[in-house]
Amino acid sequence: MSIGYYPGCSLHSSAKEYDLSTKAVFKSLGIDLKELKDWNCCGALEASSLNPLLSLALCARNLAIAAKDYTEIVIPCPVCRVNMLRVEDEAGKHPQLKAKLEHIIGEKLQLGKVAIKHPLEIIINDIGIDKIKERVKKPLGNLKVAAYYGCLLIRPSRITQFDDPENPRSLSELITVLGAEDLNFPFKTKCCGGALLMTNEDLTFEMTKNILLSAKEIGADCIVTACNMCQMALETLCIKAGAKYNIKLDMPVIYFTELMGLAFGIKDVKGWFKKHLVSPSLIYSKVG
Amino acid sequence: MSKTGAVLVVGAGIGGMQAALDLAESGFKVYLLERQPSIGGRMPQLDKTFPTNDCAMCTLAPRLVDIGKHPNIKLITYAELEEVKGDVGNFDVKIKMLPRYVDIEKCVGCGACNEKCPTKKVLDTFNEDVSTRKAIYAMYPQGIPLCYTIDKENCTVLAKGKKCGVCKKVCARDAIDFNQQEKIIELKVGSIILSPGYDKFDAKIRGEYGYGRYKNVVTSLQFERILSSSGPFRGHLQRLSDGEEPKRIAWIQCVGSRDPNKGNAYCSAVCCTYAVKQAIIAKEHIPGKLDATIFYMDMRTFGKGFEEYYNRAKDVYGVRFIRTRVAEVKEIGETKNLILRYEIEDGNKVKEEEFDMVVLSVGLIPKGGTKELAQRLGVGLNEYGFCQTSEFAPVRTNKPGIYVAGVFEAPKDIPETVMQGSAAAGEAASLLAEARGTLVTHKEYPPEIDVTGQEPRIGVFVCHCGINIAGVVDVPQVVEYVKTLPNVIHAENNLYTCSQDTQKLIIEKIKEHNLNRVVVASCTPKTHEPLFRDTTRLGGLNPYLFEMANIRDQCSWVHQKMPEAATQKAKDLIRMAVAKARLLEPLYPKFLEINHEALVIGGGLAGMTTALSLADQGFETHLVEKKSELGGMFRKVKYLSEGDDPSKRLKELIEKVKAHKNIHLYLGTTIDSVKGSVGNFTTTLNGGEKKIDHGVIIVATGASELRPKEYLYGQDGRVMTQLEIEEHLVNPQSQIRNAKSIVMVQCVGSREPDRPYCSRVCCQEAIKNALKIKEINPKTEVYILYRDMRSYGFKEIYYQKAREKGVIFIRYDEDNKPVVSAGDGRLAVQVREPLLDVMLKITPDLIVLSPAIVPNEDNVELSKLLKVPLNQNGFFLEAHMKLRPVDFSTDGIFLAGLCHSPKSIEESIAQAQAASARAGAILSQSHLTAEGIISCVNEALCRGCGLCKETCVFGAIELIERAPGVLISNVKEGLCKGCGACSVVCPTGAMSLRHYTDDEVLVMVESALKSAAAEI
Repeated sequence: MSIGYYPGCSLHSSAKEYDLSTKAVFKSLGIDLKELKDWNCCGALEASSLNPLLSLALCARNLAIAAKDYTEIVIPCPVCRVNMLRVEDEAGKHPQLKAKLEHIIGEKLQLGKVAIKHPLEIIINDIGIDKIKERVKKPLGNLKVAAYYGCLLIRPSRITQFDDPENPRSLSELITVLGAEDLNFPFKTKCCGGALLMTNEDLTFEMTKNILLSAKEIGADCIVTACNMCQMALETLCIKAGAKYNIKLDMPVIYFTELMGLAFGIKDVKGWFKKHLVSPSLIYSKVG
Repeated sequence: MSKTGAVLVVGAGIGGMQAALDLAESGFKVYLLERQPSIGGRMPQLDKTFPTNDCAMCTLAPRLVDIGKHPNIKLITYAELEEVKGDVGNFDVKIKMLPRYVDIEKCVGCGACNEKCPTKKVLDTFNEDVSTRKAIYAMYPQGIPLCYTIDKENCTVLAKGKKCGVCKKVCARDAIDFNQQEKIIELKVGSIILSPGYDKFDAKIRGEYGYGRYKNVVTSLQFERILSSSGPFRGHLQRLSDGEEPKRIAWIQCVGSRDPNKGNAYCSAVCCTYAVKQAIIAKEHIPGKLDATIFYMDMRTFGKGFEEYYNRAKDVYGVRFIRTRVAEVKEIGETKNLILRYEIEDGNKVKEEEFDMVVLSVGLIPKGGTKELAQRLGVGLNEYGFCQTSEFAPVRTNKPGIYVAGVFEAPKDIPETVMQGSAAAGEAASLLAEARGTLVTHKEYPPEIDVTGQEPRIGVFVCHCGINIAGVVDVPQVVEYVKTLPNVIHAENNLYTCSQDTQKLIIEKIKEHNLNRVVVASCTPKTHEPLFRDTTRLGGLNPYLFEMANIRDQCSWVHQKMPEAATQKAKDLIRMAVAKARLLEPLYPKFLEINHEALVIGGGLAGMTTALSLADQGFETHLVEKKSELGGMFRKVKYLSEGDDPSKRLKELIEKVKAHKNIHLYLGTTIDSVKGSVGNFTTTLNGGEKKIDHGVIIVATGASELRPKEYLYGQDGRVMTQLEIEEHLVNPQSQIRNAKSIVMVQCVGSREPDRPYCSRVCCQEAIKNALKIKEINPKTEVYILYRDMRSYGFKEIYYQKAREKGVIFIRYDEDNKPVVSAGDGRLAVQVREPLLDVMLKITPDLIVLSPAIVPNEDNVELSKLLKVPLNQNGFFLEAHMKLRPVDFSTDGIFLAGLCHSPKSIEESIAQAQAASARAGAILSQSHLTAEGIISCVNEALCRGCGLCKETCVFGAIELIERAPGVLISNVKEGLCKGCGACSVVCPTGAMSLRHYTDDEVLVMVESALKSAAAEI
C-alpha cells in the first residue's frame, strides 16, 4: 500500500528527524510513503497573510500533482496540511475562485479526490490503536510524557476535522499504548508563539516559557509533539527564554514518530535523536 | 365505558410526588413509579434552596414521609414503564420491576448488610461520584422506601460469580435474595402523568474547562454534595485534589446552555440563581476568608425574590460578578490551582486569574431514556427533546389523558415544578372526575376499647434495630429494667419492632395482657410514629394511647463508643416515656362537615382557569370579578411568539365560564367580608347584598402594568409601553410601518431601589414585539436597551432569532440609564455602549418602555379580609416558596397568577390549575379530619388578652365574646396544627396543647431527674 507524501520545506531541512522517523515508522507498519513529484512550498504562514490568492494557488498546484497519482496524501507539517485543506474548502465554496485557481496553475482541480491527512490521523483513525499495540516491542516503562498539540493540528476544527479542539486526546492514546505515562498537561493546546518570533520576540518567549515550565511542573521527561513548527519553537527558544527569565527550561521535545520508533525498536532512533538541540538522550536511560 | 379512578405518575421527584399527593388526597388511587431505588429525585441531592436558604432535605423529608404512609399511594420503585396500551380513561400499563436482590417486604433498612459488604470503591452516583459507596446500598439515609438494593455490576456474587454472600449471612431478616429476577406487573389507570426529571449536561463536552481532567473543576451538582452536611465531607467545604479549604472559588455560568455550537441553544433557567446561592452558602461556610466570583453572560434572577437575593449576594456577602464568557481553564501542575482566562467589557486586555476551585454551572438536559419513553407513549417532543406542550395547556401532552410536569416540560426550578405537579393532578382529576373515590381503600378498625377509669397497663416494646441499637445498647438488660417500672405489665425486645410480623405481635399482646398503653423504644417518631399509632388502633386502643422513645438516633448512634452510658440513657428515655404514657388520654380528632363549593376572587386568565378546572372536577364555583368584564390583563395580550391566538382563547374561555353549569359568575362585584375557616367560609358581596357559603378560596386578583413617570412617558405621544405598542402591532398603521427606528427601554421601574424585583416577562415581551416590528418592516431599526436579557428557558431561542433578524441589543447600567429627550421635535436617546465605551445617540421615531408589573393596590385590603400576608413588594406571599407555591399558610386559601408575582401566560395557567387541584383535594373530602393533637383553652383561666391569637401563624385562634365585654380565646379546630406556640406565650396557663400538657411534660422531666439524683 502506498500513500503520497508531501514533506514540505521544513521536513527537508530543520525537521529532518521528523521526515526520517515518519517514513521509518510507516514502513514498519507496511505503508510506503512516496514523495510527490515536483512539489512546491505551501506558502507557509507568510504567503497567506500577504497574498491569500498566492497561498491558495501554491497549494492548488500541489493538489493537482497529487491527484494524478494518489487518492490519499500524508502531510506531517500541520501548517502545510491546513493550507492544502483551505484550498479544498474555499474552492469548494466559491466556484469563481476555483476557476481562477485553475487558470493560474493551468490545470483542472479535482476537489475531494485526494484525502489530505496528517500521519497521526492515519495512525489513530485508519490503522487503529490496537494495531499499533501489536507492534510495540519495547514498552516505554518509566517515561513520563507531556502530549503537546499546539494550534494547527486540530484547529480550525471545521477545516482540520480531527480530534477535539478543546480537549484533544489522540496523542495521549498513542503515548499510553506505547507504554509510557501520559501526563495531564494543561498547556497541551496553547500556542507555542513560534509564528510571532519575528514580530514580537518577548511575547514568544513568554508563551514558550509557560509551556516548558508547565511541563516541568508536572514532572515530564519530555514533550511529544506532532508539529515541526512547535517543535522548533520550543526547542530553539528554551535557551533564550530561559536566559530571559533566569530559569532552566531545557526539556527534550521529540516527535510522536520518534517515540513510536523507540517503542517499535527501530535502530535509527539514535541517529534521529542526534539532530536535536536539546538532547533526548536522557530518554534512553529512562527507557533502558 | 366508565373511566378508571387511578393515575400512574412516572418519576417520583418533587413534581411527581406533588401530583401523587394531590391526586391521592382527591380520592384517586395513585401508582408512583420511580426508576431509582428511592423516591425524591434531584432535590435530596441539593444542600440549600434559593432564595430562602432553607435546607433542601429538611423541607423535603416530611413530604417523603407523607408519600410513604399515604394509603392511596402505591410506590413502585426500581422499576420502568414497559408498555402502555388502551386509551384516555382506561390505559393498560405494564411495568418492569428490576431486581433489587433484596426483598422489599422483609428489609427494614437496618444497614447491617451495608456495614459488612466487602466491596468498596463503587462510585456513589447520589454524591455525583465525589465519594464511593458499597455494592449493597441505600441511596440516602432518608430515602423512601427504606430498603437496601444490590447493584449487580459491583456485587462480588452477582458480577463476579464468587462466593461472598456476607450480606445474606448478616441479614437477620433473611431479606437478601440473589435469585431475584425481573418481573412484569400490570396496572389499569385512567390517566398518566410524566415527570421523569432531568440529567445534567456533560461538562466534558466543553473540554476547555478541563472537567474530568482537573480535579478541582467540579460541576454544580458535585458542589451541592460537597457543601451538604450529609455529603461526603460532612459539610466541610474542600477541594477534591488535596482536601484543602479553598480561598478563591470561580463559578462559570452557561456550561452547555445558551450554546448552540457545543451544548444546547436554550437557557436552563435555574443556573444563575443556584450559582448565587452556592456562592452565598460557600461564603457562609468559610466566613470572611473566601472570595467567590461568578462569571456570567446575563444574570437571570427573574423569579420571585431572586433579584433581591442577587443584590444581597453582591452587597451583603461581597460576591464578585464578572460579565464575560470564560475562554478556558488551565491547571497549574504543582498546586492544582486553576487559571481562568477571560476578557472583560471595559478595557481590551485579556485577563488571567488564579482560583483554587472552579464550579461549572451545568445546564439541564432531558433525562436519559425519555425519548424512548415518549416514543412508546406516542408523546411529542420539541427539538430539544423536552415534551411538546402549548402555551394555553402547559401540562398537556399531545396524547389525551397523558400529562407532564416539571423539567420534562422545560427547564424550571422547584416551585414551578411543584406547581406543574399540582396542575397535572388538577387536569387528571378533572378528566377522571366521575371515577373519583372508586379505587381508594378505607381501612377497617376494630371498635375502640373504653379505657376510662382503668389503671394504666403499659406494654413496652424495645427494638434492636438489627445492630443499630443492640450493637451499642444492652437491650435485654434494658428490658429487664423496664419490667420493674410501675404499671408496666409487659416488656419485650424485638429484632425489628417496625417489621410486619411485630405489628401482629403487638396487637396480640394488647389483647393477651389487656394493655391500655403502648410504648415503643426504637427510632424516630418522625418516620415511625404513624405506623405504631396505626398498630395501636388496630389493637383496639385509641391511637393517642401510644408513646415513643427514640433510643437510636438520640442514643445508640450518638454514643457509639460508650455502650454502658448508652444503656443507662436508653433506660432513662424509656422510663420517661412510660411516665408520660401513664397520663395519656384518648384524643378524638374532630370531623368537620364541609361545604363543597369554591370561591374564586378575580376573573382574569388565572381566575377563569381555576374556576373552570374546579367546575370540571364537579364543584360548584363562585367566580367574583370587580370589573364588569372578564379577562384582566390577558385582554391586552394580542399575539404570542409561539403563534397561538390569545384573543380567540379569551373568547373561548369567557364562553365556557358563562356556560358552565357549575360556575356562578358575579361581575362588577366586590368582597365585603370573609368569615369562617377551611371547609366553612361565608363571604358577603357588594355591601351585603349577597352571601355565599363555600369551603375554599382561591385568590387570583392579578396585577397591572406600571404607568411610568420617566422617559417622557405621558408627555410625548411617541413614547408608549409594550402593551400599548402591542395594540398597534396587530393592525399596523403608517406610524409603525414607516418607522425608521424604534428604541425599547427595559427595566422601567423594575430592579430599582424602591421596586427591587424583576418583572420577569418584559424581556420576552420586548423580543416578541421587536420580532413583530421586523416582520412588518425589516428595514425598521430596532434597538433594545437592556440591563440583562432574561429570556429564560426556550425564550432564549427568540432572543437568538431577534439578533439574527438584526435587532440591536445595547446594555446599560442601573447608574447610567439612557437619557430620552425631544429637543427640536425629534426624539433622541443617549446611551453609553459599554463594549466600545462611547456615548451613542439614537433618534428614533418611537420609544417603547417595558414597565414593571405592579401589584394591585387593593391587595392590602384583601389581605386583611382574608388574614393572609403580602410580601415586601405587595404581592401575596405563599406558605412556602419552594414546596407550597399555591397555598397560603392558612388552610383552605390558595393563590394563582399575577397576584403571586409577575409571570407568563403559561405559568399563570399552570399555577391556576395547581390551585384548583389543591382546592379540589379539600372539596373532594366528605368531611375534614382535624388534628388530634391541638390546643385547647381552659376558659376559667383565660383573660382574653389575645397574645395567642397574635402568635398563631395558622390563623387558628379567634377571640369570642363569651358574655358582654368578656373576651376569651377559641381554637378553630380545623386550622390548628398543634405547634404549641400559643401555650408557650399564654401568660395564665389557660392555653394547653393536648398530648403535650404541662402535666405530661413535667412528669417526664421529673422522671429524667430521678435518675440523675440517684447517681449523685
